[in-house]
Amino acid sequence: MPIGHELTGEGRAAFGEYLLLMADDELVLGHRDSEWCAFAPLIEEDVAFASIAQDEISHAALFYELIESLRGLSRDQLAFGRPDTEMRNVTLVEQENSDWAFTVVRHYLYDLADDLRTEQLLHSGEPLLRSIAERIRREERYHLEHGAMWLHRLAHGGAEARRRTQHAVDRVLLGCRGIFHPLAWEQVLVKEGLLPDRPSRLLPTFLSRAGAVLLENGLQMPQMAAVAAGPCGRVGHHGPELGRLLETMGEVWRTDPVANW
Amino acid sequence: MSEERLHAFEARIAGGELIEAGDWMPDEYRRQCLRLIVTHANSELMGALPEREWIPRAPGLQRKLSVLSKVQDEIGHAQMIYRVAEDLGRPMGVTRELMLDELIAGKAKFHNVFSYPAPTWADVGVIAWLVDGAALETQGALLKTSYAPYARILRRICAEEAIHLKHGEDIVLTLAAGTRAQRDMLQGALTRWWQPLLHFFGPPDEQSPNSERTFRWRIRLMTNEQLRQAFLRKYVPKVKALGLLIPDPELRQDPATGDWLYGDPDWNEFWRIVKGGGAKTEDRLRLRRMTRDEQSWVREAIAGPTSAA
Repeated sequence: MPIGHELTGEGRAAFGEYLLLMADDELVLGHRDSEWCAFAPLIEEDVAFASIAQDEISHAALFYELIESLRGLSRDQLAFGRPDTEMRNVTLVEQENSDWAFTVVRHYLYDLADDLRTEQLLHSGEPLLRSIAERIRREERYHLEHGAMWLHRLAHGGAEARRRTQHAVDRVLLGCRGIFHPLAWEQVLVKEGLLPDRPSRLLPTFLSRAGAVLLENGLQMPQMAAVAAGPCGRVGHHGPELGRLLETMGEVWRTDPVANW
Repeated sequence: MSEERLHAFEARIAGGELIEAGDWMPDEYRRQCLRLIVTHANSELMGALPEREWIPRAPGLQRKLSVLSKVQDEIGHAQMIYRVAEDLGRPMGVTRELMLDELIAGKAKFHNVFSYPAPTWADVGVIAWLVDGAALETQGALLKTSYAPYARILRRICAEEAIHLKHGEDIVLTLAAGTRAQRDMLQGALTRWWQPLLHFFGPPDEQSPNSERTFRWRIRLMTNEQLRQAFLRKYVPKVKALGLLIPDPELRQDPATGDWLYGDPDWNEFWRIVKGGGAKTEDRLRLRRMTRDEQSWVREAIAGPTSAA
């Protein structure tokens, strides 16, 4: 049975959009993770981050494959063949890696948000989506443990580490809001049984979980309302970092998009 | 007393026994094993860099994942081998930090082959197929080395290298069966890597600094030329079968011995690189130095008294 066969046209479109934004988040973050490979502060982290990067890119591939069956574009066309204006990832994940504190905090808080998102997928009416979510969550458990360990190490690692970590929290938490940005077609996902609730409604739960983790580590929760939101990646507004990332990522593939590589 | 110990040690080796980290061994045996093992660890770490440049550019999700996985393996090998070196070098005060410091200061050896640039995607395939193929010959021959802890990790490393070979061969076969531009790119990479591949095994035996003792103590079991010939016998026919041109007009097989006779691969160039003069040696070391300096705060943070694991 092809995926989404019971959906209305509107339902299929919304489903495709939702899969695409999750896939793009995972691909772009996985790409950023992979940039640490060979340059992490410890050899152990070169290995760990390479493994995390492979997981994220594999998750992206799983979502792209579902879209492939909905839209008829191959997963490589989806990953390598779109301009930045068609990318749906949150701008948080496209930002350059900066320092290790930013990397750790971004990944951990993103993983906390992703945990809520994939938990919601477990209650989807679409069996394929449920089984993908189960697989993803098995791997993400280790990412969460890894992130919690590093956040603790850095938050308790002396004045400089602490200053860098707090600075990263201030930057990242704001960007995390974009993950749950309300989207016009969210209600369609609920109506057609693909999700139990609108994803944007996960934001308060995320903020209270993130706040608890920060408090445990003696870190401050930044004043979110005081800061204006940045560009919204969900509707294709991105920073120049994403354009550069896509240019690099597609450098070889785009020389001949129909060739076998 | 020490004469007797040396005789007993050599008798163990001659009897096919293996030496463990805690066993008595002559200082010279320790030094020679350590030199071999540290050079291997450094080479795994530095060897990750040319391919690493292509992780962000790999064409297609599957290629991106497989290059990433390969580079991860190489760095994981370095990690395991440094641990073996640390155990062996402990009586001489050798630590991983010290080995890494010496590497980035340009004072330590790593394989000459990792001093070259990898300018195209085809280089990734040629490196993973042929450079890893060459490494597998060398490492396979070391599986019976007399230093047991090294032999044990080599078994695992060789198993993973065999997977890298498949990954490289798959990239090469895909390009060879591809468009004209893809085939040209592949030929270009082979032409670039052929001489470094001959250099890979080291100078001809008569110029090799390896002492007779290295073989008597079974630290190494095959000479440079034996390894080079094993490689050529396996890979020359495979490369030719792809319709690629090997850039050596003098290359031919001796029908009597089966050995491949090759033109002079410019051993002066080899010695120049060994002494630190490779095209990318300094760039790659500088990159390592820079990232190590930038991240010193992380290592300080986790070493501090308030950190909890």
